[in-house]
Parts: sequence; structure tokens; C-alpha cells
Amino acid sequence: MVRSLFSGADVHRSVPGRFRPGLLFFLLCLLAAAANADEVFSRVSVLGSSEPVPVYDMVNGWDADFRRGSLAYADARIQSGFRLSGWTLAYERRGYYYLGFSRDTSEFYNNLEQGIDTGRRYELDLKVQTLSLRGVRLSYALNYRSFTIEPVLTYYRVGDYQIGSLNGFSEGSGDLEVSALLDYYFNEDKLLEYPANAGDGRGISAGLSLSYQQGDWLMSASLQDLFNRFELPNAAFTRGCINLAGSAQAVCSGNGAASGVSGDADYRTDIPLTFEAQAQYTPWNLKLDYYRHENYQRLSARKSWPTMIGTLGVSAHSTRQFGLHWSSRWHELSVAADDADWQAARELQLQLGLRFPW
Amino acid sequence: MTQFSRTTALCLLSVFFFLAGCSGNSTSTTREVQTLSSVNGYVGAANVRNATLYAVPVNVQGQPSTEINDLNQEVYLGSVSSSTTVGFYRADVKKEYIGGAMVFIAESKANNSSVRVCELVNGCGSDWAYRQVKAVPRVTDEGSTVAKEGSFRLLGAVGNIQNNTRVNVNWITHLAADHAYTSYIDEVGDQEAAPETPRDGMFTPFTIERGNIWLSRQFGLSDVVSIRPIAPSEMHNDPGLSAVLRQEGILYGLLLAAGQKLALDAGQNEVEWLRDVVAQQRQLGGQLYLNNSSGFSLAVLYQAALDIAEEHQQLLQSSSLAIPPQLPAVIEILRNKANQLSAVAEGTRSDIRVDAEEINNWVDRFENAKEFLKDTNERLLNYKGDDPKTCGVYAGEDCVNSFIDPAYVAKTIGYYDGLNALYRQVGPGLDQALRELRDHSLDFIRCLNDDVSCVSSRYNAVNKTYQSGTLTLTLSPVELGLDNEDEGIFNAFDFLITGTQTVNYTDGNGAAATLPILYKQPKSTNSSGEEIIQKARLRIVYDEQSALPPLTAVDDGLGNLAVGHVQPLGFDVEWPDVEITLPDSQALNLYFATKLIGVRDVLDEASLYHYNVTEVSLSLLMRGRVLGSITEDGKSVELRNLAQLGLSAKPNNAANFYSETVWPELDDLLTIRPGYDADVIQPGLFSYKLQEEAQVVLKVTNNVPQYVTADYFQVTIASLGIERFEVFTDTTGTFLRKCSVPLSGDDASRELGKVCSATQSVAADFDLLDDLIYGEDDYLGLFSIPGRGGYRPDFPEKASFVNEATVDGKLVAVFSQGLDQLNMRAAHELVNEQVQDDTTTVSRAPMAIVDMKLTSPSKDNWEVAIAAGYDYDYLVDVLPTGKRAQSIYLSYLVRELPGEGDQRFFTELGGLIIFRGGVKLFTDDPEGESLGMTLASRVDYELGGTELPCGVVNRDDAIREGNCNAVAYLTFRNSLVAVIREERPGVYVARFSDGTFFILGG
Repeated sequence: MVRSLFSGADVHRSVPGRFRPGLLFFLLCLLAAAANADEVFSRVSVLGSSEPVPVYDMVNGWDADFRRGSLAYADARIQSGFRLSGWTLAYERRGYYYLGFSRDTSEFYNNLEQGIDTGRRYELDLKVQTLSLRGVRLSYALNYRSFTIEPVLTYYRVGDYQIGSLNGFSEGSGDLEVSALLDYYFNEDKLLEYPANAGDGRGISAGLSLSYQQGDWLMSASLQDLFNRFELPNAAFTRGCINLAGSAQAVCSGNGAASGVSGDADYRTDIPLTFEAQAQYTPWNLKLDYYRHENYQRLSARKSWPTMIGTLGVSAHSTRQFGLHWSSRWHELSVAADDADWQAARELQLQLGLRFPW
Repeated sequence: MTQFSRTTALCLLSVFFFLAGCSGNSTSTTREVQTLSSVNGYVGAANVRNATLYAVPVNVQGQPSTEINDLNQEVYLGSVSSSTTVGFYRADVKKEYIGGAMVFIAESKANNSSVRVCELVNGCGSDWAYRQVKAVPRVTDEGSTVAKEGSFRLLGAVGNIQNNTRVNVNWITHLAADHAYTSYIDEVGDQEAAPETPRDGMFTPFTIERGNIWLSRQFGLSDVVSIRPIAPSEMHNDPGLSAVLRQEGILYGLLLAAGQKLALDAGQNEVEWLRDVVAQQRQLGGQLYLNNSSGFSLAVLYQAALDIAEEHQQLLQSSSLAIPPQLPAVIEILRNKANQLSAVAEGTRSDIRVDAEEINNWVDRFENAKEFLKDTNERLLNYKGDDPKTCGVYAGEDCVNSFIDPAYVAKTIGYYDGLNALYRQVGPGLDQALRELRDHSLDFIRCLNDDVSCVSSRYNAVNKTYQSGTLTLTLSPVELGLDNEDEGIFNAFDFLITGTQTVNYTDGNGAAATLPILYKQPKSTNSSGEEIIQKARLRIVYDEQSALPPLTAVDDGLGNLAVGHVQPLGFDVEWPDVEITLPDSQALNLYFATKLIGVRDVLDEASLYHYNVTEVSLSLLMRGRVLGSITEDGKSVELRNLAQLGLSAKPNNAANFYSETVWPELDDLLTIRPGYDADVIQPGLFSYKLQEEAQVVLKVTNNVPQYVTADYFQVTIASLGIERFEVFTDTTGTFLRKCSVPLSGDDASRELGKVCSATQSVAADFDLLDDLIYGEDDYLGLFSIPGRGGYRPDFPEKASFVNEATVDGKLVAVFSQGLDQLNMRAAHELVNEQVQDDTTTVSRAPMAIVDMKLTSPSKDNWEVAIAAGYDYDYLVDVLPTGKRAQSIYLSYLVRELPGEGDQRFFTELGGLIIFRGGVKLFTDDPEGESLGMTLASRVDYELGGTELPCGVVNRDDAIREGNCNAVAYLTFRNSLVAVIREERPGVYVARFSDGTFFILGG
């Protein structure tokens, strides 16, 4: 039953005899404090990391310097919205890519790409999760003295997605023997060409930002995707067994080079938590930052200087990145990479934000 | 296999590495995928247009499912569609109906807009001309729109509907559906084993499949439900089918059209006629009369189909439309069948039987198909047993099966290595033999003409012979049977070759050798039953008659002819049996025949003959030494290794293409004469005359001409000939015919001398101007000019047309020499030898054969069919078959389709039949069973883009983005069970209807 939101009787029933003027005053204070930061904004943020090959090659083909690695991760977002009286409402497009794999898997794949035949055995273990999302993000900043708490809720529509795992091994030289189990969900078959008829998925993600200022110190932490769930109706799937050249110790049995079943089924997935903590000493304009997402983690230090054209800064990262930063009341620009040639960089970060405060 | 494995592995893994896909770049796109939720088929002989087509599931009571609609009317459940102008329909099928029995019902529409095309050249009645349409019968009560009995209604049914299944609906499938729906009861009480009284029953998957197999067997077709019928009136159009399917489609269409003719002959409409045939089938318990003087019989049906086929053959011959290459073979089948049926006793019934086991095998066809495909895939990957773990060579449980016994492969390779070594030894001798024979022939002609360079010691002027050693050439004038031949002078002369040609030469090892070549004289019987002796000969044909062959020369390559010499019109070589004795008691027998025709540019008086091959045949039989004897059927038989090679080729347009070179070369094929591209204008090539109400000769009976009033349109082609198109009306209708009128003589003699070809019925209001010259149907066609191509008169706009004028000719179709057919067959029979102690025993090794057929009328239009079989007992059509046979039949057809401007569209059609005897996968029979699997593929693409390659032929060329549709349909026991596509380059995936898949390869 739908009940009127303006039903006075219900309002009274919901807080019978428990009206507290102190709480209302507290909330009004929060609103007043937040009102100072009203703005319209648009920002792009990209964080990319690829251990085996540069990020550019990860996308375009493994041609460059290879290192045995176990991770490739990217989280790219474009947000446009406004902040008003502590409320933030934004439209967000997000691309999330997380690939976890064994070092053997990366070497095996590189060998395939480069036509290298080592003849040794490789243990294959690969997990993939890529989601293309668009949605509406809503948050509200609650200030209490030196504390700020900002819960964030984002409703997503899921566009393209590729989720799967592969486990098995490869061995032999010449006639390559590969035996692996495949479990793959998708809206468009990048592996073969199963005609997927998946509809748009939907999901929700809740996060929390905390900050605390004590004297010259500003401490903050954010928990992104603290709780999230994505429903993928009618997702196409392929579950199968790959057996190239008929290995004697196959992890599964099937027909031909690979066999299995494809079909459509509802699927549910979620994204791991992203945790970020910062500590800033304002007199020195010095900031320390810790970022973690599953197996990806990074420690950063950043020093800034106020200038005539805004705040300029440099940063150093545990991932061997070096960053440059420039911000003002109207914008924020940050670039960090582990190589001056962006096509050769394995660690990349880009942030560009424009805001129009009033 | 390594390459394949790596390709597959890359594809399987690369998706996970950031969408790189298999293309190695980020632009990999998903190609269009066919949705699998519909069925299709043809209504009638692909000649029923705009008919309503219901696709109705069968309910649990075995009846077509119905429901009550909003108007409280009972309507069929399922989907409704309509047949197109080519009699084709496509109907949606809900997923829930997949796998179940389904009935397809074609009915007429309420507004009488459902029509059928007349397929009879002489018309289907006074008001229904050839190729014209007429509404199908529809009977209603006055004031009602509901069709009742007597209306057009045809059924087709399948026991297990699958995605993309083809289900035809015509009178033959109607008989099948009726057979499926009919139960027989014992009304008398003494017919327990075979009840005879027919009653309406119910559809079940079992009865439906039995009915379809039953009627397929009754009419000698592979599957009445899925084979595409080709309407006789459309048989000249390329249907985009492989030769095998096109031939069966033409046959099917003719049998269906024969129903139209029989109904016409019986004075019935087709509904009434079919009602009687159904009644006969029911009365005879599912059988039909083979021969019956009253009513329907298969004899009259096949005779009617034969008549229709022959009428169309004549019609196409007289027009510029292409005669399907398969039509003569179809006519032969129909003629043999008609003769055979008419010879059986009156009242004889057919004796069709379908075992329950045959139908039960359909039940598990998914599982069976997957198992069979898996097993076949394994065997094809290890075709010759190259894998060290091949069963038979390797004893482990994980042994891999091969398609052919590896021991046999080794034996065959050894045998052919031996033949190669032998050829290297005697090859130079054969080359020298041909050179000597040519020199002897030329010298003989010089001697006949008393030329001073003649080697007179070899020439016998009295007997007109020429002798070199024991080889003798004899002159023999030939009467060709031409109308204008005079006594004692001839157009052709044979140089007969007899005796033994002894060739002394240096063999491939540098040693002196001698090669005896015996020109044998085999005996045979001619059509009159007389015994004749065949001699090897070279025949030279001339334009002019003479008593002796004149001094002969050909174009010297520069357009000059030696003074005093005559250029021959053609050459004809036939060596019926030449035996060459080879070392080690081996012998080679060969048959060789070829014909060359001279072609000149008829519009260029200075041009000399250049020669094209019109046909060539070669047969070789290699006999090894006797290896031992065995006893067969009580007789001792000597065994030796035998290898046979047969080769025949028939180029097309040989009499029209003017080559740049004097003698035929391979480069002459699939090319056009330089400077004669399409759209070249030949000024004043044609003059025409349109005449109304002229008295023309209709026919001449006993030298008495019979005249008729006709309108005609006459086209004179330079000084080459006159073509006339006459339209006249008699009591049976209006007709159009094409006549060749002599160039010379007065009007009366030319009228009497004209030769007219097949007559076709046309609409009563057929107009020469509106229909013949400016109509949509190309009645005039092209006018062929030898040496050039097909020209079309460049008529003025219709408003400027005058009844008599001279017009230019535009070259529309340039002559190019292609291959009508190239046939090659190689077979061998080898002998197994087992040595034990000092005794050698012999036995026959399995037979093997490779048969290839190639047709390539033009460069981008060709078809190849290859059949390869091992351990076969006999050939069924082209497919080697037998209890243990392992055979493959592969056909591939490529067609370039017309596009606008520079656009080039291609269609590639593939067919693969795998036949395996002795398969024990699904039977306990120790001898196994014979199973066949069919793959049909279709690829459509446009050249000239940046995307991935597509198809097989233009593999190196990129295609336009997103325009590659390639799919193969796997049928197992005639049912579609899987779709195979190249989902990534080099990765072929078989997807079954139940969602399972596997990647071919290993």
C-alpha cells in the first residue's frame, strides 16, 4: 500500500513524543556549514595500473616490454553535477576493470602473443571483472564540529560487462597443450560469437567518506563500493572446457578444442571495496595518501605550494609514479605516471575537475 | 595443428586481457549473428504467391492446436505469415515449440489474392498463359468469406521443429502429411497384420517423420520437406545452390509442376486433382499406382514432368536464357523413370516400406549428432593417421582414430612414388613420340600435295599412306553428313594411325632407351548394331570441300597465312586405345580425344582462325606386374596394382571466343578479348522492321505451307542473319515464337526457309512494342556475334520509335571462355602381399577414389565438387559408399552478385557430406551402420573495406565493416541440429540447438 508522504498523522506517529529541538539545531548547523561549498562541477578521474605490460599495450596488444605480473586494474569515472546545501547530485559514467591472474598466466599469454615456445608448464588462473556503468550519485555531507561524514549512494545502469574466470594449465612445446575450465558471463561475446540477448543490468553502490580536522591536521578516509550489488538479467554465459591438443592430465573432458554450454541466465555480481585514507598537515601543505583495491595498493606523498596561479604540487608514489598537480578555486588537474612516455607507463593517474562555485 | 591451437588459445584468452579480442587490436567487432527463431520454406513448386501460411504446433491430442480468438472464432495457434512472389515464406516459431511436432498449412486468402504461376509452356488453359498467375481455388458460401472444402489448402509437417528448419508445403508434402494423419483400421475383422480401412487419425512425431520418409522414397527425393523446389519457369535463374542441390531442386519442381499438367489434362483444378490422388494413396494403404490406365499413376506423373522439362529445354534453347547445366541429367532421370514405370503391368502398386527403426533413430539425433560429430572431428584431424597414437599403430586406450588406415596410406604413397619414378624414366620418350607424330602428319600432307619437301620414300601415292618403320598413316576422306556435301569432295579428312611407333630416346637418367607405342584397333558396336573397328586418327576439317586435303597452314602468329595454303576450320583427334609397354612388365593404356574449333572475328574480314578446344578427354590405366592369384567366385583371378586416371574438360564459348593466340593456351580461359569491353558501340549493326498483320508460314505439312496472320518484329544483324519474333493467335491462345530467316532469296522462299524454335504462350493482349521491345521480360535477349559477344540493339526511346530503321549495337556481354565442366577421377586398386617363409599370398587392398568436378563459366563464378572415398564398395551418384566406406564429398560454389558502381558482392555456398560406413557408435550390430552428415554453408560479403577477411575465396581481401555473414548448417539424418560459424578467424564453432557448443579442431 502506498501511503501519502504528507500524511500528518503518520508523521506524528513516526516520532511520537520524541521531538528533540537539539537535533534540529544540529541539522541546521550542518546545512549552514555545507551551504558554503555550493557549486556545479564536472570531473574526470582515471586510475590505471597494469603489471605485465604498459596500460596502452594492455588495451592494444602486448607488444612492449613484458614483466611477469598478476594485476591489471582501472577505474575511470566521469561525473557531472552540483553540490547544494551539503547535497551532491551527479551523473556518473564509470568504467571498472579488474583482472587478477597468476604470473604464469601473464607469461603464457605473452608467449602466445609473441610466438615464444618455452615448452614449460604454466598454471593458468585468471579472474576478470569489467563493467561499464552509468548512473546517478547522491550524497549528503553531515558536519559535526570537526567531523564530516558523507554517505554516498549511486544507482547504476550496467551497459557492457565481461565477467569470468579461467583455471587450468598449459604445457608442452610445438603442439600446445592447454586444459582449462572456463566460466564467462557477458552481454557481448568477446570470446566467441554467442548471440547474447542480455538486457541492461542495474545496480546500487553505497559508500562512505569521513574526515576529521584537528588543528593543522586533516584526516580523511573513503570507503567506495562499501556495499554494492549488480543484477544482470538474462546475462549470456559460456561455461566450458578447453582442451587443446588433448592433454593427458586434462582438468576437464569435452569435445574438440573446447566445448561447453552457452545460454542466458540472470546473474548477480559485486565490486570489491576501495579504501583510501589521507592525512594532511596544512602548514606544510603536505599530504600522505594510502589507496587499496583488492591486490592493488599505493602509498603517496604530495607537497603543494600556493602560487599566483593557484596551488602547484608534486607527488611521489610507492608505485614509482611521479605526479604534478595544479588546482585553484575553479579547477583541479593532476597527472601521475611511472614513465614520461605515457604509452610506456604501467601506472597512470589523471584527474581533471572543473567547478563553478557560487 | 600447432597454428590452430595457438590461434584458438589466443582467442580463448585474449578476451580477458582488456578486450583485445582475437583481432590483435581493439577494433574487434561482433559480426551479425542470425537469430534462431524461425522456419522457412517454399509453397507449391515455389510458385504459389501470397498464400497464408500457418505454422501450427501439434497438441497432445495429435491435432493442430487451435484457440478461440476475440471474435469467438477458432483459429490456429502459432504464427501466421504469407508467401512471397517467389513462393517463399518465413514464419516465427516460439522457443517453447522448438523440438515439438508442427504442421504447416497453406491456404488461400479471403480476397482471392493468393495466386499460382502457370508452369506449362503451352499454357494452363485458355485463360491462363505460361508464367501468368491465377487465383488459387477458393470456395465459399454466398455471403461468407470462410473457405470450405474444395478450396486451396496444402499441408506439410515435421516431427521435430528446429530453428531455421526448412519445411516446404506442396502437394507432395500434403500427401506425406495425409499419410502421417491417416490410421488404418480393420473393419472386416481379418486384417490384423495389415488393416486396410483408412481413417483420420492423429499427428505424432513418429507418424510425421514416417510420412516424410515415405513420400521422399516414393518420389526418389532425398527429403521432400527440406529440398528447395525450383519452379520450371524460373529454372534458368541461378538459384545460388550447389550443382547437386540445384539438380534435385529442378527435379522436385518438375514433379510438382507435373501435378499442374495432370490436373489440366484431367479437366480438373489442382484441388480436385489432389483430392483424387490423396484418395488413391489412402485406398492403397499409402502406396500409389506405378502404372494405371485410369486415374493417377507415377508413370503418367513422370511422363508429364518429362514433357514439361523438354518443353522448357526447347524454350530456353531458343532464347538467350541460360539452360541449367543440370537439366539434361534431370531429363535423363525422368525419361528412364517414365520408361521404367510405363513398362510395368497395369495396376501395379508401389511398394514403399519404412522400418520403425529408421524413424526411431530420429529420436536421439541430438545426442547422436554430437557424438558422431565429435568422433568425425577426431578422425578428420587425424585423417591419414599421422598421430603417433593412431589406433591400430598404438595400442593404448587413449589411441586416436584416423579416417584412413595409416598402413594403407603408407602403401599408397609408396605406390605413387613408384609411378613417379617410372614417369621420370619414360617421360622424355613420350614427348619425343608426339613430336615425331606431328612431323609425320605434316610431311604426309605435303606428299599428298606433291610438295617438293615431301620425304617420298615414306609415301605411297597409290594407297595414300605414309609409313615410318611399322607406323602407318592412312588418308581417309570423311563425309560429315552436311546438306551441301558433293560426291567425291569432302570437308574433312582423317589421317588414320596404325601399327607400332618405336621411339628411341634418352631417358631421365641419361641412358639410351626404346619406347614401343602400339596404336591398337579396338572393336565396338555402332548404333545399328554393326561391329566397327576404331583406329587412332587425326581429323582435319575445312570450310571448303576438296578431293584431297589442301596444303594446310595456320596463322603464323602475326596475322599472315602462307601463300597457297588453306587454314582448317578445326581438328579432331581420337586415339581409342594406345598401349605403351613399360619396364618391369608394366603397361600403360591411354585413351585421348580432343576437338579444336577455329574462331574468327566475323565483323573483321581480315582475321584468321584461332583455335579453341571444344572438348578434351584423357583416360589412363596403369597396370603393374602380376603379383599373385586369388580365387573369387570359383575362378582364379590374377592380382596386380592398378591405377586409373580419367580427365575430361569442356570449355564454354569455345566457338565464340577469339583468342589472341593461334593455339589454345590456359591463359585463354576466364579472360576477355582486349579492346572489346562491355558498352563498346558497333555502329549500324542492326536494322529492324516491325510488321503487323502479315501472312506468315505457320508450318509446312507435306510440302504444303499453312499460313497464319501474325505480327512480327524482325532484326537483321549486319550480314550475318535475320531473327524474327512472331506473335499469332489461334483457337488455343496467343503465342510467341522466334524464327531464323534466311538472308538470301526472295520473300516467299525466305518465308518457306525460315526455321522456328519452341513456341510459348503469352497473354492475349501481348504487344510487340510494349511487351516485346520495351517490356520488362527480356524476350528479345542478346544477339550473339562470334569473336565479339552479345550485342543489344540500341533502340531509340519509345516515343521516337519508327517501324523500320537501322540502329547501333551495344556490346553487353563480352565472350569469355570458361569451363563448362572439368571432370577428373583418380582411382586405384592395390594388392596386399603377405610373405610367410618362402610363400607370398596376395589379397585385395581397399579401393580408393578421388573424383573432382569443376565448372567455371567466368573468373568469379565457379563451383568445384570433390568426392574422396576409401574402402568403398560402390558409388551412389558421386559419393563412395559401402559397409566400411569412409568418404567425403565437398562442394563449393562462388558467385559474384551484381552491385552498383564498384560494389562487388560475393556469395559462397559450401556443401560437405561425410559418409561413414561401419559406424558402431549407436548400434550393437557388429558390422556397424552407415551414417551421413551434411554441412551446408553460406557466406555473403562485400569486398573493399578494412574489416576482417570473410569466406574462403577472397581470404586475402578485406571486406566492408560488419558485412560478413558466414554460417554452416549441420544436418544429421536430414534434420538441422547445429550451426557452425567461423566465430573468430580460424576458430570454427559448432553450436547445437540445446545451447551446447564445441570448437572444431583439437
